[in-house]
Amino acid sequence: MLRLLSAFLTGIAYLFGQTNSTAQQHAEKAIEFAQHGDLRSAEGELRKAVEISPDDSALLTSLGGILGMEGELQRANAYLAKAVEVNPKDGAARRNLAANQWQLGQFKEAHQNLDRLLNANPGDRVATYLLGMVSEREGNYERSIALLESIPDIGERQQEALPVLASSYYHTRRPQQARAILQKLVGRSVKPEVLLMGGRVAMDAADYGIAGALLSQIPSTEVNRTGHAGEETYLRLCRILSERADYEKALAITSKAVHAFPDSYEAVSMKASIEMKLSYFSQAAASLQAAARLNPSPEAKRDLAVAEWRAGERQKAAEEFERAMRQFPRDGQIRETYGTLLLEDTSPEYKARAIELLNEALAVDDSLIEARYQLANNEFEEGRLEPALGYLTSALKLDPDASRLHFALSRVYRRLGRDSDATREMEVYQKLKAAEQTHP
Amino acid sequence: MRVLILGLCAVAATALAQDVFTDITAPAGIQWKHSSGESKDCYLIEAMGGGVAFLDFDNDGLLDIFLVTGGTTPHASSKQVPHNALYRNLGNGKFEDVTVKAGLDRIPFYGMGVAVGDYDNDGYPDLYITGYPTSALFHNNRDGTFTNVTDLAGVSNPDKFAASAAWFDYDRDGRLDLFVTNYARFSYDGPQHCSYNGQPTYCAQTAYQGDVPRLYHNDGGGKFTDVTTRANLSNLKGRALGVVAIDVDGDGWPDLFVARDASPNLLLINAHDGTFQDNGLAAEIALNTDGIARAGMGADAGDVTGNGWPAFVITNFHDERHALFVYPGRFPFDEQTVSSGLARLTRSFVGWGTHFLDFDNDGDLDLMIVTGHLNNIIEQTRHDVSYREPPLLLKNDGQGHFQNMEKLAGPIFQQKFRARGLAVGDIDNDGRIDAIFTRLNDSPVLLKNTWTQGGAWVGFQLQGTRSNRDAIGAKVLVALGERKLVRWITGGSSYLSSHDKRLIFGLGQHPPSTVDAEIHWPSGRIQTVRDLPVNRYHKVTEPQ
Repeated sequence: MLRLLSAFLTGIAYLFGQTNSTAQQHAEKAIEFAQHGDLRSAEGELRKAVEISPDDSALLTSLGGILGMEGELQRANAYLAKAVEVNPKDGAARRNLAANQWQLGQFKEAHQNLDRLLNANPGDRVATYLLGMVSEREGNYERSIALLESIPDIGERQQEALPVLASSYYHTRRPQQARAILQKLVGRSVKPEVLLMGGRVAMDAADYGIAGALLSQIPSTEVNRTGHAGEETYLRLCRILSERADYEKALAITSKAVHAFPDSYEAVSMKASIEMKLSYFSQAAASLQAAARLNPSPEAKRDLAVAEWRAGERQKAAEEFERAMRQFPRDGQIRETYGTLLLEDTSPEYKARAIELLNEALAVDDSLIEARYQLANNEFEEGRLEPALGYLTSALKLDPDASRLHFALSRVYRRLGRDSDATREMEVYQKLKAAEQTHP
Repeated sequence: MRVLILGLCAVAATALAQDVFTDITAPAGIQWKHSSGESKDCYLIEAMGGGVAFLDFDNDGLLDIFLVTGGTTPHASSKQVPHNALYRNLGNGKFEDVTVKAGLDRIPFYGMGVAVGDYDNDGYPDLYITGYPTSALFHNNRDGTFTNVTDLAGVSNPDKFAASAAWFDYDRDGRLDLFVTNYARFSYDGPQHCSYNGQPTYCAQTAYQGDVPRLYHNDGGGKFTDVTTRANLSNLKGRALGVVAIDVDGDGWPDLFVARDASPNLLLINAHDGTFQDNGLAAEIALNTDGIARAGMGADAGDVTGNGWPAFVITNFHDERHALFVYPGRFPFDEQTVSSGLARLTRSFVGWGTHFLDFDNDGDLDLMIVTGHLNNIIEQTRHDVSYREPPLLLKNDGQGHFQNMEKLAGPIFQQKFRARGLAVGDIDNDGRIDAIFTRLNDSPVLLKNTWTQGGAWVGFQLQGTRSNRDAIGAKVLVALGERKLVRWITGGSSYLSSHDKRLIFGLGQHPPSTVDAEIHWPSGRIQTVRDLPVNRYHKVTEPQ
């Protein structure tokens, strides 16, 4: 960065020779500061110089350049715009202005400036590159491809161009070319930002294999450099992979996200949910411990207790449930889940407590379906078919598409001698089940 | 008086220390080991284990043992050449390896299970060995040797990954037919790769498409015809592993129950016209109470509640509950998995072979289940499940409620294994049922029943004349006071395995000196035999 800055300032230093001598002194000081990495002081000296010579395009370009390097793109462009106004042939100023406009999302303005640069010099590779990038953002994918592909070894020189080029290929329905472009980033030393960008482009195109490969390539230690965008992208990919039941890949991605963003409840709880899906219960319990620390919500506490239960640590889980119930007395789902697990255990000594919990859950929250289903099953097992029917009917009102409710209902009807109702419910069950298997 | 008290204490101590089963594998001279062809490819077939059969191949009145090896896989880590084993019972507690002499050591395919049946009614048991990609029929030459007659018989079951098989006479023509479960579409080409907690492991069964079973009709003359389509079975695609042939609904015609892995179980009701109708869903034995197919592996049927009808036990994966379905005399079944205690007792185990057996001869059918996980790193992710698991001996209180006998069953029941096949039979003709189970890549475990506190018994060896000679499909009732004990000679049952075809009735501690029995022959004939002395076997031949 410093080397770049020095080169930039040294490159235009000869121009200062034509400026006012006091302004020139400030400009020379600015170069000195910049060479030592003191951008702020360099900026101050250049401001003083510009105050003395406000129409000196070299000074304006330098100040714009310094501000750009400080990330002050908007302010930089005020000086760069004035520089090109003063000297429309100042290619450096116009190039910097266009680059900043592209980064600021001012594509139309950037486009105009880049067109002028290319009209003046069709061999301007920087302008070609920038216009390729801008064209992609404008939705002119064919032009973007033409411009970026015209630069030899574009991937070697500007890795950032590859995700953009891939995006244009995806948008023009050439996924194989897009994948081939992104493949150039795989297994190479690439900036995390570029890998992230490539991953997002692939994800937007629903090309999850290459997306996963790119995001996995970001070293765990570097993932946090990708910031919120990185976290959001990782979690999005995890959700997608999870929906596609590609849990092992999802876990690899989410593990990186947790490593990079250990304080992100979303990342930690996502990892836990994937571990639960993979039946890695001990690991899920550990993740949920962390999640519950980050966000001691009823959901986090409940999920933690479930993971502990599934991991075979029933005593610990029971204590967790009891604590959660004391902490969140109005939360029906904790009671519902605890009651369900106790019933699932099938130990006779837990049964009464399970039924009590499920009834309490419904008393607190009338919208609970699982509690109704479990109570229906209990009534059924006890041979009390009418109460079972009542629970199932009310549960079905809340979730008419739950296949297992129809299955349970058919069993009740069959025993009540209502054969046609039993057959109907079984048919509904089979239809819903088939749909679940087609679209799990 | 003091001496008497001491004597009583000694008796009590002896009783407490006694085990139901004693491991006699080594003293019996059984050294053979199963070979799965375990490899880095993690082919599913490597995890499925091998079957075992009790049979009296030389008709000397002593049960012998046949064990099915697995086989090799393309990149098997072991260079050992797999071979089956036939052990001849010498009657003195020892067994002699006669495999090579019998011509059963090598088979040209990966061996899975075995079904024993006298398909030509010549009085000598024959063997059907299932496997991949074919299966084979070995005819007993009555001289201690067997001949592979697969091609002649037309029962090679080509291009299939077969598991359990059952001999039964579905059309009651007096000849045993053959039902073969085919598990999944499988190939060594392009192994499927799966990982668990970052390490390679066997893919779940759902990664493989299920297959259709095969039914072969015995035409006589050593020939069979594939009647799968004609019998209405060709659309029953699913991952079938276990099978029991038994007359479920009491109409005198043998039906089939098929345990399937993550596919709905089948209850194939015999329509008396050469076809079967799957009634599993309506009979509520196909799925669990949530409407989900479990990982059905092994299965058996027997009257565990004393209601005179068959109940089915089905082994499943851990957390799924090994299931008990009681038939109340009409459909649907009454699932008693929870109320029987089976759910609680089996929830941590992956079950395979299973069989009802009255180990203490009290008249109630108890239950044995052998277990073992497929995933060798399962303990990394949970504390209540292990890779190696103990066999289970569950005692029935007579009402279909079970309790674990782990403390009394014997040291083997406190150890953990990768068990798969299980067969039961009386190897020393003492009326106490013995057992043998297979272990993956290991020797089998032969368990001798040494329980001295068991009840009296009466045993039957049935010989059909109009019926098939093995009398598979026969039902026998023995009156014991107010109780009527019912037992069936089933086809198939357990997992990959075949059992002693004799029936033993436990008569409890206060037996009559003689019993009467009512025999329902597969032909439909009902025969009553009276005044049979207890504590011995009775050979009964079907009246001509």
